Amino acid sequence: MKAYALYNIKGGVGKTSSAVNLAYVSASLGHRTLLWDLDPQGAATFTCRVRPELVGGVRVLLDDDAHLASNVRGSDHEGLDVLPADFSQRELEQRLGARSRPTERLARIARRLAPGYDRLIFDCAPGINLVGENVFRAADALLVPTVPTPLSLRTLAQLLKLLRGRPGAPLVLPFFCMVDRRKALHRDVCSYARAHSLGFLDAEIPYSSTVERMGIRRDPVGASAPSSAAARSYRLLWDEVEARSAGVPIAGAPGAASSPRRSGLRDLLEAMRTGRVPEEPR
Amino acid sequence: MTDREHLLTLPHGATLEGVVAGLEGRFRVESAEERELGSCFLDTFDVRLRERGLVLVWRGGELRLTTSEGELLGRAPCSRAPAFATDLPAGPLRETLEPVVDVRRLLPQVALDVRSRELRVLDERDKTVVRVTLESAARQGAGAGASANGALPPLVRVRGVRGYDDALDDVLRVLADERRLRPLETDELRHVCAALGEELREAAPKASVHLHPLQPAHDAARSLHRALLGVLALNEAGTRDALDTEFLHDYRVALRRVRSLLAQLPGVFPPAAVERFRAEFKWLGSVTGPARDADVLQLELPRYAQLLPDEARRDLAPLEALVESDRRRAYAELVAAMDSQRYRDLYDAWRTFLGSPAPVGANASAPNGLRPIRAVASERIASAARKVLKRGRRIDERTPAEPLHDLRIQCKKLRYLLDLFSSLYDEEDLAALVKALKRLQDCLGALNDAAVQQDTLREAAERLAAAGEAPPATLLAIGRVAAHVEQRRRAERESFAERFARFDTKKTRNRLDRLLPGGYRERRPS
Repeated sequence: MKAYALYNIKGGVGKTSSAVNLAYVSASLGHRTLLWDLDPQGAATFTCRVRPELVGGVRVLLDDDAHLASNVRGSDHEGLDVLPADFSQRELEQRLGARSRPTERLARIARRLAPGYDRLIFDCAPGINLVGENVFRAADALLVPTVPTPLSLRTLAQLLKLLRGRPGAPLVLPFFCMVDRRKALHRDVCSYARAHSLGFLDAEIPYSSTVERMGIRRDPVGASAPSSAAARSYRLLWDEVEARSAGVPIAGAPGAASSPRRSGLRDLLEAMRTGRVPEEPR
Repeated sequence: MTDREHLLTLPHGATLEGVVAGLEGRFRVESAEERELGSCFLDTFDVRLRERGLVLVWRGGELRLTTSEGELLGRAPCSRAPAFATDLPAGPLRETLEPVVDVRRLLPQVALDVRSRELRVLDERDKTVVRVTLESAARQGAGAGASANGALPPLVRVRGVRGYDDALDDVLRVLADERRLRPLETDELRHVCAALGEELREAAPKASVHLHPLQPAHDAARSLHRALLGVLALNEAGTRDALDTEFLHDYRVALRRVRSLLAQLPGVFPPAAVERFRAEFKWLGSVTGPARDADVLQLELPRYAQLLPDEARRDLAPLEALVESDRRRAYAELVAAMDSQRYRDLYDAWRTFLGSPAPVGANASAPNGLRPIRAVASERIASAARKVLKRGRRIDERTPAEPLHDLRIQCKKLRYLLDLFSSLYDEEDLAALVKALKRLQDCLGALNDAAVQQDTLREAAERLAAAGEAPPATLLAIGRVAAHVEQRRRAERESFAERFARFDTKKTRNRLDRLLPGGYRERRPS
């Protein structure tokens, strides 16, 4: 089983919509897929029309509980199941801290679920904390949706610095999300990132009202609007994520299975620190 | 929790509309548009899937693999019904299927035109909690106004959603109690075939016939030959159409057994007949040989490609093209041979010969014909076993290729005898003997394959060069592959001594003695 986590320290960047949409693509290709909603807001759970409730409460996530499996619900789409969020998950951080091996709990649970699934997708809450540390251990790759602004890149750099040199750290695969090509800043940041080989995936998710309306339609875009630009870009994104995490080199990308080059980001941070706007690459 | 599909049939006179109304009366139901789609059940010619309790269906652009009880094992999007496992998109379904299906083609057992409507039973959040599909289907191409034999009785499929078991139970209960729907009694394929009056394809029985030890040899031999003829007939159509490589392979295995049996039971049939049929079957062997060689080479090519570094794989393209054109030509010649008068005459004559009792007064020309088969077979097996041991013992590290080739042929002769006459001997001893012999044969076979492949590669390189179709990179690539093959040949050659030693053991010799009345050693006149 492969585990991917939609993760970003920042909120509002498209983690949930990406998690739901990628999980749908995965299932549609025939992989038995589990979407695990780790965000107490429960947006992914809501989008899948599942009741945001864990029978047995947040404890089932902590104590490797036999009740865990009975909480999994099938989505409306064949091959896609959901492990719902529960508002009591807001206490997860605190409770993890009180347990032994606090960073390994979720990985243990993921292993228990592994035999029944080919792909596991975490929808993570924003922030950087103990739950996040658990995800780093449980996931094979972090998919980091990033809005193309300098501050977003800065936050990404913080994440990379945190994970640098850690044994067993997941692969970090940032991708641009909510991209509005009408905005010069977005265009500039995207091309800066490509020119400096910051390791972003080629696939980009455009800003899309189809995606925004997922909260109303309560369906992945692949189901409600399969020929939309958004649905197509998620399919491409999935293919690229799968290839990168299998170590298959992508044409034009800086080597196989590598995390973003830090030097490019370091230059950027330096530029921001000194107040200079990042320059266009020559 | 398994994702099992419940298949239900309607009571006589009930309609699908009635089922919808029944559900709508009890539950919140969302109905989709009716869709028309094609569906077909797929399996190999030798029904490998069904033998393992598996059902593979392609319907509406999706491939589904289930157990015969309806438990889903895998699904994959697939725009066309696949022919080979390699046509499937990479994923869990392909991974499950590939080892089972191997190189065999997936053949449609029965193809249907289906009209399907999906209903979703919803909860208070509009979540789908049960999926119900209503179907009416007919044999593909049957068209509107199909005769009774073309249309299927309507079918209702019910699938639960994980975590909503109560809803599934409720729906099933309503359908059973209020609409009187009943579950299918067999798996879906059997149900469809029964309804359409189609015969379900069965696996071919093994060609070893049950013989009685005291059966006259000519009669036993005829029984065996009739069974082998059955195998030839079974595989003929698939061979002509080159549906997959195994039809011709199975055809040729049966043919080799026919020829071996004719050669190894002297004095059972009149010699004139034997001579004549041996010559004709030899001809048949020779017209089917090149096609099989081409198939084998084509199956090897992907493995060859793997031996090369990524960037060199494309260099094999001229070789691949050559092999493909050879294959086509060889199959064309094979089909022409099968269409010929000579072929028809052979079959007719052979069938007649096998159907006739031994002519009176045949004893003189066929002295072994009336002897009990067990005695005759045992003599032949003993003789063949002695030859294997004798020849094998003479081989050491310096022995050239030819004696090993002879040994390989001799092992085959022994093996065919053991296989064909297995019903006459103790099961356990025979199985153990065959197992040991097979190990030896695998080594000799691999050795032979490697030698043949080297010759083939060299010849192919020469032909490509002569035709000006071999850029240096291609010749280099072929050379690299040949080097790997040579390495393999050497490894097999080195392992021969040990393999033979494992065969030529006291255990094996004791088994032979036990198996055959009178043992296997040569009877010396006392």
